Amino acid sequence: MQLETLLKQHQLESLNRDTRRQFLTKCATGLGAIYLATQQSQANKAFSTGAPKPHFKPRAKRVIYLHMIGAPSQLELFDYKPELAKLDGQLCPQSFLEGKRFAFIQGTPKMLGPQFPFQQHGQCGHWISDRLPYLSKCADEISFIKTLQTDQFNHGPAQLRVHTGQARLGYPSIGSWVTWGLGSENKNLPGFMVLLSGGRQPRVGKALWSSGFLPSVYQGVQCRSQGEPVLNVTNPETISREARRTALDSLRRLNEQTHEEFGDPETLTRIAQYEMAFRMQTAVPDAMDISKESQATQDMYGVEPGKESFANNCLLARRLVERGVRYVQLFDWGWDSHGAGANEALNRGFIKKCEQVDKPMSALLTDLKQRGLLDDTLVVWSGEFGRTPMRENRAGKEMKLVGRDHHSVAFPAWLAGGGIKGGMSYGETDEFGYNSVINPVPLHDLHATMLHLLGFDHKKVSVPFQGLNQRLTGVADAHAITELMV
Amino acid sequence: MRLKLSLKNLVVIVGVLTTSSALGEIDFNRDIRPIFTGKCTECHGGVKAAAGVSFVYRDQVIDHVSDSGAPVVKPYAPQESELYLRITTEDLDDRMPPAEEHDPLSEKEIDLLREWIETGAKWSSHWAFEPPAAPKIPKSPWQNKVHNNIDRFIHARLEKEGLTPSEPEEPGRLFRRLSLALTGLPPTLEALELFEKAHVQDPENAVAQAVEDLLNRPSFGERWASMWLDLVRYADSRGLGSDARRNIWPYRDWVIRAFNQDLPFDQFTIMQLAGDLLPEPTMDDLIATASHRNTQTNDEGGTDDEEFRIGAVMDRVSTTWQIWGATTFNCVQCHDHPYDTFRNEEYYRFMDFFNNTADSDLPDEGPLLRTPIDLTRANEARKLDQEILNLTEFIWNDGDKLANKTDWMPVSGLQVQSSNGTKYTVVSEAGRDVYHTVGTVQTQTAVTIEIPKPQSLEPMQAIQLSFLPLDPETAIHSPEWGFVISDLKSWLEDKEGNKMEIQWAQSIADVPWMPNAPFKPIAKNGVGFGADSRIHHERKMVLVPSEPIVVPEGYSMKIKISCNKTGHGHPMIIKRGHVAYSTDKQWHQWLTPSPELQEKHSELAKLRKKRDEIKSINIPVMMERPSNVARPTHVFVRGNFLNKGKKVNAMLPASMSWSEVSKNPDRLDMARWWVSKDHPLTARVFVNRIWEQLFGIGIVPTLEDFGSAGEPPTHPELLDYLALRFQNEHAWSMKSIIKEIVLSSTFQQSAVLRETDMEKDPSNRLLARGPRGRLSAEMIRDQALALSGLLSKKMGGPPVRPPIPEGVWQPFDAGDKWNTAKPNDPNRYRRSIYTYMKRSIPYPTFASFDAPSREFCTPRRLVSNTPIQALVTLNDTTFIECASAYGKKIKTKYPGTTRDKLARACKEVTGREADKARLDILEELFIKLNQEHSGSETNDPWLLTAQVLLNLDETLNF
Repeated sequence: MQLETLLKQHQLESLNRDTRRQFLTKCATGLGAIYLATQQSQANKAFSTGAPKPHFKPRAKRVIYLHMIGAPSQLELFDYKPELAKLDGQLCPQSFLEGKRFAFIQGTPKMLGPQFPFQQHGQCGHWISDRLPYLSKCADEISFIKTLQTDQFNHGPAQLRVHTGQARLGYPSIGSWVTWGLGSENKNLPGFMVLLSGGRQPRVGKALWSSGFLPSVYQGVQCRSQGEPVLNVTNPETISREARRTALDSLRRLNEQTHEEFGDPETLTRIAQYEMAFRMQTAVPDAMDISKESQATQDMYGVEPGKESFANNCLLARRLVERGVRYVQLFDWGWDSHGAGANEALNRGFIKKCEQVDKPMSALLTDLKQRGLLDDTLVVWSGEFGRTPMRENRAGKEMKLVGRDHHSVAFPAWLAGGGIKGGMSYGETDEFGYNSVINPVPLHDLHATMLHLLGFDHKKVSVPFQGLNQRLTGVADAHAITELMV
Repeated sequence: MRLKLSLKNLVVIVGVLTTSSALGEIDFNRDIRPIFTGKCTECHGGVKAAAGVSFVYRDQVIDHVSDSGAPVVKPYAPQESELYLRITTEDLDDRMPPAEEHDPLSEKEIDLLREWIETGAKWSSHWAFEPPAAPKIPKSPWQNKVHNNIDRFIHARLEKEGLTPSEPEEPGRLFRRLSLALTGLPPTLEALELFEKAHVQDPENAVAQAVEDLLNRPSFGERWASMWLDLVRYADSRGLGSDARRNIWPYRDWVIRAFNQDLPFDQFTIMQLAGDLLPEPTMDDLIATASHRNTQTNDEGGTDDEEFRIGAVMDRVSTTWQIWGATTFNCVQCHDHPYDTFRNEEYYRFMDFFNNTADSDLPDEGPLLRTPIDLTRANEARKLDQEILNLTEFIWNDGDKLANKTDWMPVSGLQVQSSNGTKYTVVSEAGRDVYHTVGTVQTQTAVTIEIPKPQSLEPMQAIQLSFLPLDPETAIHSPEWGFVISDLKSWLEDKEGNKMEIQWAQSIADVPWMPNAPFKPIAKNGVGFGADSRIHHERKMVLVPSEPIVVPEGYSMKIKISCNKTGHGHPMIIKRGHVAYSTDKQWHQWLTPSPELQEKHSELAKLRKKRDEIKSINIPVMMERPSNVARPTHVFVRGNFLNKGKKVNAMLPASMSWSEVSKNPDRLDMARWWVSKDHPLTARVFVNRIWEQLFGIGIVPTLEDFGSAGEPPTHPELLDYLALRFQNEHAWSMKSIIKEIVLSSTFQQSAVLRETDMEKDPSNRLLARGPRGRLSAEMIRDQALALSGLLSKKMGGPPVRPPIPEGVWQPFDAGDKWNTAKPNDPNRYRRSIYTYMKRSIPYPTFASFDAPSREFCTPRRLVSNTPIQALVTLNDTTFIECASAYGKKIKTKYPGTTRDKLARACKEVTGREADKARLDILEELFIKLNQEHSGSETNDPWLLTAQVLLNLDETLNF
């Protein structure tokens, strides 16, 4: 409440002084940051200028992005290549190797056929491997892009490329762009939240949910499904919530005076953050408490309360978007199927990984649909690149276990809900899944598509930084794939 | 609409700050290069010079005939210049830049390019690659606000932009700002009040005294070292795979000492890049080289040591260029630099400076330096180390000389047997027999070499064993897995299997220190002579028997060499070798050392014992490999280390001046080059870093990029002025340049953001007001500890483990325990710089406040402002302990009424007297809390009030 009053007071003062245009100028660095970061609806009331006008009718209001860190093999999941099976064990044709770079493959590797059988599913007839029996039942909900392309074949930079559009550190992530543009619908929770399945952290860590050169309030907040959901969210036993409130009220008043005196917009942001922190203290544990879900729902996802798992995170993702969190980013790990060790071999660890994600992913789609959330919640699944149709031969030798190397020019993503026409497939790879032959899709096109579904023309979502009008989709042209949209 | 509007307005803000191209004379760097970099070089640049045109290099533009047959730019003749024709043509297919790549050039840009060509198309290097020039000192319209020349530069720009400097900061706040800026700690109340008194008497002198005093505190080094440790990616763990513990903290302590002792930046630089190559290096010279051993290593199974060794070497190249040059040299790994004048090959030439250090991603982290824990014994230890080394080399040399002049006779008729599935074959090559493996090899192979009775009647006096890579030609640039001898046995054997054992008295390796045991063939722990973990070159070892060997009729000699080590799963066995022998009697004589040599031997033993008595810790350092086993450097085709191109030698980039450097520069020459007089980057880059630390934003805001893609300096003349001052008048003294900056009136202005500032310069790039910004992660915690009286003054030593939230510490390496220091242990309350810094699990408080995890060089921390930070300073265990202790301190140590006590505390945290309004709020809060307080431990009013004080926006900002 106090924050609201404060905002209003400032807005009034400012409006008396300036035109709205000038006021918004200041917004970009300070007050605007809170204005944007807190809730659109409230701030809008004060502005009485109505909701922001997106460039098109938004079909998605929120996003859940499922990233399989390590880059899962498309040839064992979604890109069915019977011709590749015929070449299994044969030496790779030289034409595949000339001028190509691989992370680990050396000399002439052998071709590796699909390791698991595929079947067609749903009305649409999507080919999906037998590793994903649950997801297969949702075939008609999801649409594939089969021909994603990146220019990075090492994990760190490639992950950055997926989430920030750039292979270097320091750029805002999709979640930051989206919350910057749309704000959060829940004043008690951050607009952009990040859930990790446990295990290994992504290589570049926080950079994947960084706000880059956008105001820092738009960075993702990492939540944990084990222990305190957000570090330090619980008061120490010796401080009650009421006493904390009393103290924070005084703190706020003192900080308001500081702002009066120094005029630093960051002080206002700080006031807002302390208030947000206070609200998060109840909102986060409530949102993160999956034990409040019915047993049936818990079983559908296959959750294990109190542990860190992808299944828990899928259910949490639903709970968060249900509460108006704008962008929920999930990172699963362990998909780097080189075959150099059992955990990361197609014939070993990969099988386990598929089991871990299959049921929760399908439960997420089903659950969202049942609750009427799927229509305006966009769900995206991808890795950071794909894997070679050749068997990895690290150090030029055949390895005991079966794996594939990194491959950057033909890998899939799937999208569902939020304005996506289900059961579609866009782009085609060649008969071995090596190159994208029809409709290659640079990553920036995926970004443009996501922004489009959220109502934005990607070209117009930009901010000047380092002498360039920076966009999520970069300087080269990008295209939203309207073919996949409802 | 809203979104669009606010974006446009952002442009307005930025527009104020970019120097709009004067309609007067065209300045290439200001007016033309940005157009090239923004709109042209993506296709016509270092990466892809389409149509043979690159706008990075003058000679590919001016009078350069492109593929179209016309000159790209013909000076004075726009209509004959392909560039101009292509940007103005009506034919959209020909028009540049292509519509699908970039927005079209604006009319203004086209006019600028035309004007530039018409006036002769003058080209100049990017500003940062031209040496700084002594600027004219401008006049300030506000003479009474000038403390030194810095202010004149700042004022001149303010005047131009229609801004005015602010009034001086309140004395107390100024003192607090100085204290935090220089020492990272807030002032004590006593010091603050003494300063205020002195300030009334003589403001100038009071500030000068305070600055002098703060610069001389040990906490100065602890504060400034953080900045440097971000750059050199210092951590107490190894990164990558298992991120195991690394002992390298003596380097961290050295950095702190260097700042405190005001080690001149040129020496600071040379010591870190090449201290090991200095004549008679001191212990500190060697510790400093640990700087570049902060690279990550990977001890995970299945990894390729050579890959990660190269990764570390390449990181040293990028990091060196980043730290000293703010240059994105890493862009040149795969291709020429997209914007700046660096060629792909120059990357590898520079890499050659680092490519021959002895470290090779081994789990033992070698080479290691035994660093005395008691630093007062450093000189003594260093002297002993040097004497030991000299003696070792002397003794080794005695044998090596003989080995070199011996006429070795190659052995023919070899037969070779393997102990397992590894297969060997013997071939005749150049008159001698060579054995080598065939096909797949196994680990733990013992090879038995059978040498037939020599034809010569003379007894064998010495045997020379040679070991080679399987493919010696490719291994020289793409080294193979090496070998390590675990055991060696020799005997004479007849056909019936009767054996006579041969005793070896001595052995001599081909390098004095690389094998573990240069004098004994096999060390006690089974790790002897070898090439660990990679072999590039032929390696040789000489064995001398106790008695000359006479092979009786019917007998042959057998040598069984066992190799049991595996390198990340790879068999470290002998893959190729040959044998020779000598009948020279000198060998047997050599076994009885001369009295002189004997004395050296006993002296060596004595010195070693003495050295062992100095308690030391082993830290990884830089050390050059001997020249006979040096690694050659090749260009990696498209940056891929598996694909070797041309061989290159160490050299500095052609586009930069290095006239003073020798023709065949080594790492030491390279280090000296960075701090040479005419280096355009080093001094500018470093003063810019200092400036950013003090003002929160650099003169060049992109601390990480001084190249064409970075932002131009807001005050180019000031930057040059400071760079030259730093190099010349201040003789690279870091303290002096810091002092000069904080003594400027610019630094000492009030931080109040005035109406006009808000409109014209909201982010304070022009400095019409004093700096204001959030404290760094370390300062946030250290300040809370200092105010509450908990802070330990202890300096240096092994990293410490303060409380950490539950569930965070889940290291891959389970043995790496976080044993939290108990509440009575000072290690719980040490300065943040001493906290155990594990890369994969950065300390959560620091990570929340934007400290990097130190995997790579971090030139700039981006400051955030999040609810997570509020939760840290409100609920984290350390901050709760601070609030509790501070509450007690306020209650018990400060005199007077509650209001008096709160007034004291408020002054303590903010640096100034609390006004009535603030005191009212605080007092009201305390009274309310106190009324509701039951007297139990819960909701202690002093703790909660102290917490409010510690969380004030003023407290968290400088």
